Amino acid sequence: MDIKWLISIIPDLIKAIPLTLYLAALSIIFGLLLGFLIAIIKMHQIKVLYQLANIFTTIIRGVPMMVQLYLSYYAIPLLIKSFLAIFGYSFNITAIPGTALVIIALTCNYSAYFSETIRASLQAIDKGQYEAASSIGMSPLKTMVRIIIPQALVVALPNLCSLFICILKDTSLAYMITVNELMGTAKILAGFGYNYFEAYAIVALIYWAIDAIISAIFKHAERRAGHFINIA
Amino acid sequence: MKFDKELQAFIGSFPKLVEYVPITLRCFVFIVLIAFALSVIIAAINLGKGKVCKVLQIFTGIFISFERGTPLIVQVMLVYFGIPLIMKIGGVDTTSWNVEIFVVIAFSLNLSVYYAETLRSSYLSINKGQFEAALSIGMNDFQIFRRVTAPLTFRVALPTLASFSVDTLKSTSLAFCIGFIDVMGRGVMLSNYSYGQGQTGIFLAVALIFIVLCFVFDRIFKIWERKLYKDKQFV
Repeated sequence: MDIKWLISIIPDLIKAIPLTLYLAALSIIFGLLLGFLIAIIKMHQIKVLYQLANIFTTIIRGVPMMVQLYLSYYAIPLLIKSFLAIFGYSFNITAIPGTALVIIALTCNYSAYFSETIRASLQAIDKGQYEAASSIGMSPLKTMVRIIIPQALVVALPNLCSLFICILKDTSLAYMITVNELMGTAKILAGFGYNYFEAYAIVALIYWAIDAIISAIFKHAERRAGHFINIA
Repeated sequence: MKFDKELQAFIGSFPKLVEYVPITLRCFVFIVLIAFALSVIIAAINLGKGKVCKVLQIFTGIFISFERGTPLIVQVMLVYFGIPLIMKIGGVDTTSWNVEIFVVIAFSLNLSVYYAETLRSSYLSINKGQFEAALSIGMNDFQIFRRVTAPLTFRVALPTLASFSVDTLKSTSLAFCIGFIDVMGRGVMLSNYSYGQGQTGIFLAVALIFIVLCFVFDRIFKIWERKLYKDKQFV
């Protein structure tokens, strides 16, 4: 154990935290949007789209995150390249940043999980709430935004918390496709002196701390939002 | 379009990858067995009410929080680089160890935490009347555990245990990071030898194998569940 070296790398690791959080935050936002869309499609059983959504969810759940990441890393540039080639454009594959590919992979993977959580929480809301909203003349969109989503959110909070933490943890895979977030930075720093164990131990502690903060925030939110449950 | 290269790679790599399915499965079986044994111990500690259990609960609490709060890949790395350091203190040389040992240790430690929490909550969900009924017909503690609480706990826990197991089967694809050659490891190897073409095809083949494996295990667990629930006397 080289304590001096350990302390010297901590600032470098802390500098890498924003990228990790950025990857997680964007994946969460896009994942929630796509997940909401899939949940709506599944709830209303829209033709064709419903079957597509089911196939999508099944495939996503059967394929490891790591394989999805590699597929997005290799397949997306290839698809864009061949698509542009039809119109006679040439395309530089390296122009796509690795972070974008990571976010696409995480979004696709977690939208499947988000959709199930969102669907379950939307279905937990009583039918009477929709009827009451329409009886006072609210449009379906307004009902959704002002009546249903606030209540469904409360129901979904515990599940969302664990999914957010899962996403944060899975951003650590990004270093496999050369995105130097927390894990990648640790690997590079440790490579100079083969201090892998020490570096990864610190990374583990950082992830642990961030997760503790996230779950503390959610615990607080659950307690504050608890009184909405009575309405539902 | 130039997708024929990818198609070729897909067809060419598929048999090569299928060869490694037994290794993934063997590793998975070891992980599940060891994790289950560990989880029973952890769950027993967490459910215990004695003074020794209360002290041990501090450690299991930290362990559970750590295993849940840190990325799996970090845990794999910590085991891979940490165990040799610990073994060195004890004078054991780990350089000749198979990588699979580290893989099994890392993943079973992780899975045991999820198993333990499932077993604990399933145990707590059992109706008190079951204990009382068993006591009333004169069973001793071991008999109650062996014949009443253990089967009931397992039956309640099985669907959740199954879903965590399948998750871990997928996660074993991370093991290639420490040089373990299973389906994923072989896929990465093939893609490294592919001179920049056909990687999509190779990883699609890997994805297909994992989809099939997950589907098969899902079915096996479902059949097992149905078998356990057949015995209506329990309810």
